Amino acid sequence: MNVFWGSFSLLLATALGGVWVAALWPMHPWHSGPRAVRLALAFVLGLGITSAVQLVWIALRLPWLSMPLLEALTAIAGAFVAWYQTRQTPALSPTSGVRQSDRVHSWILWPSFALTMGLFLLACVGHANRNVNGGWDAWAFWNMKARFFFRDPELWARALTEVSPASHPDYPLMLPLSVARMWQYVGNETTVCPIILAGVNSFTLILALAGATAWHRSTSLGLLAATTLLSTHALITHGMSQYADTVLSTLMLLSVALITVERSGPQPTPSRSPATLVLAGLCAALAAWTKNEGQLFVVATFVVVTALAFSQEKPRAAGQRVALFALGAALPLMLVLLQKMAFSVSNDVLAAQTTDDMFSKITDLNRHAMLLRYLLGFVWSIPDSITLSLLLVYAIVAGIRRDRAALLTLAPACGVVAIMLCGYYTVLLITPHDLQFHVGSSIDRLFMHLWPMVIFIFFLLVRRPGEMTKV
Amino acid sequence: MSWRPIVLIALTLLVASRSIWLAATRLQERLPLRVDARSVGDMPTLFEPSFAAFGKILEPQAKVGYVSTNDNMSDIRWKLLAQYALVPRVVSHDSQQQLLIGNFSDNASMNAFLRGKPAKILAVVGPGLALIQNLSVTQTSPGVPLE
Repeated sequence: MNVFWGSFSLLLATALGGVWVAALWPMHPWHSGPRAVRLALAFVLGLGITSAVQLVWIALRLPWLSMPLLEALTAIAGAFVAWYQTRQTPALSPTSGVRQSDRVHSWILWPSFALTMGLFLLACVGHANRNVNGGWDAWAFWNMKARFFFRDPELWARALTEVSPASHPDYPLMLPLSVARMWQYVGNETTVCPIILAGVNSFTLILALAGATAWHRSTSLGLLAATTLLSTHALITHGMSQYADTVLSTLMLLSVALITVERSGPQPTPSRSPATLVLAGLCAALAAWTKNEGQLFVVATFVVVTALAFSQEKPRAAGQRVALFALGAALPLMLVLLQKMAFSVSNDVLAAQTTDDMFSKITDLNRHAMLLRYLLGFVWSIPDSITLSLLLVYAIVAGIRRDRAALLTLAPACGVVAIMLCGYYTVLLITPHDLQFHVGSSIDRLFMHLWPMVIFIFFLLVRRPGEMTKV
Repeated sequence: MSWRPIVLIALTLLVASRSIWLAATRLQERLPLRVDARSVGDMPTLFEPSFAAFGKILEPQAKVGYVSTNDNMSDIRWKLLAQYALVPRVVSHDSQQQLLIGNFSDNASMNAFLRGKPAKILAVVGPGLALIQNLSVTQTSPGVPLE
């Protein structure tokens, strides 16, 4: 019964997210690419909305039944907006004309993707059975907070104010609230709930990458991108360790894919709808509601959206585009700010040192050399080197897209990844912890945040088999 | 027919095969699928019940410290595990609290550590695991059942 009610609560969250995706982004989901993206969006938006509802429910100490009632009201509001949207504007058809040929590749890739996915899911089950409480971070930080929310609605704020700084009271709350919500539906504190959530999170990341790549390029490249991601060892270890990193990766990827299609979608008219920017802002801000690294991501996406808008549009139109992105980001960012201001929690990297300490680390060349050595040592050990080599040969044989449209498509994702890399490098550089320990304990997770976006960029860049005639 | 599409198909086949191989290897590493988490050293499964025993004698509002002499037991993971088990009680990572969770390798080590110190054992919940009153702290913590 735990599995049933846990899955049911996630299904409800996805349905709620789906209603809001339909409300914000009316589009007939005929093609598999946008359909997969919309499904992934529905899930992550569902998590975001239900976690916010859960927080309101806990903070106001409402009776149990009011929680599903609040969720139902949110869904009804979304359904009303969706109905209003469909009456006001004709539903947008998805992009077309970019997915042809590639059939041979698809025939190869569909069965191999299905087989890889099946083996991956079985391995997830095996991994989960060995780590029923998740990895260290899962039980020590994320599920510990979830227990505060579930066990005592009177004392939950202690998780943000009184626990030791080693328990990271400053971590955002989307994941703990989602786990606590599942426990509320199940009625007990079973380890099955975070395991199911972790599994669905991993699946959503794969779905988002396949969908986003298929949407922008072709189904075969989407499948190849997902297959490449599945070959990454860190996906299973972090995905099933019940950490927040997989949800964060999904939100980052979806936000970047939406910005990409908004700026230079395969077919401008339907793709460049205001909804894509609102949703991109929403995903970016939900990333900040998921993990502290997401706050850097909000800044990175905001900088990229602003730079692209003002470089391509007149100031008034550019301002409107930035405003749409900010509009989408507003609500989740308010939650993040509320947490930071109401509970005045300090961050372990910033609180433990002065500005002078940080400045001396930034100007220490030996520290830079040490950090680069550690980073290069770790980074090359994470992706599968054989898959990487094969993809490199693939890019050489297929060729690289060099046209203006391709460069425009690449700009948002490349800009965001570059800013994120600089941000991660700076945080590691100024860390008050032992440098080798901090790099060793975080690099594979930081890598997993960006790796789906890097795969996405790669497949945006490389020509697909159908474009070979143009070589 | 150009050689490029054929090479791309071959490369696609290779990437797919490599991916299947890696997925199969990872599955093999995790066989059998059903396994007792205790047998693979899952820390909370193994040790959470010991710490949870403190929950029966501490009020939900309680805030306790943590003390140990054994380096292994002082490891931050044990403190975090105590916190995980005792939610909504708060486990501070220092010994400057009126009540302390003592985590030692055995009772003899615990008694040796406490000898001559202003401290009193209030309850022993397991081997080397006890609730200790720190007599040098006079301020009463919330939710502490001292009597």
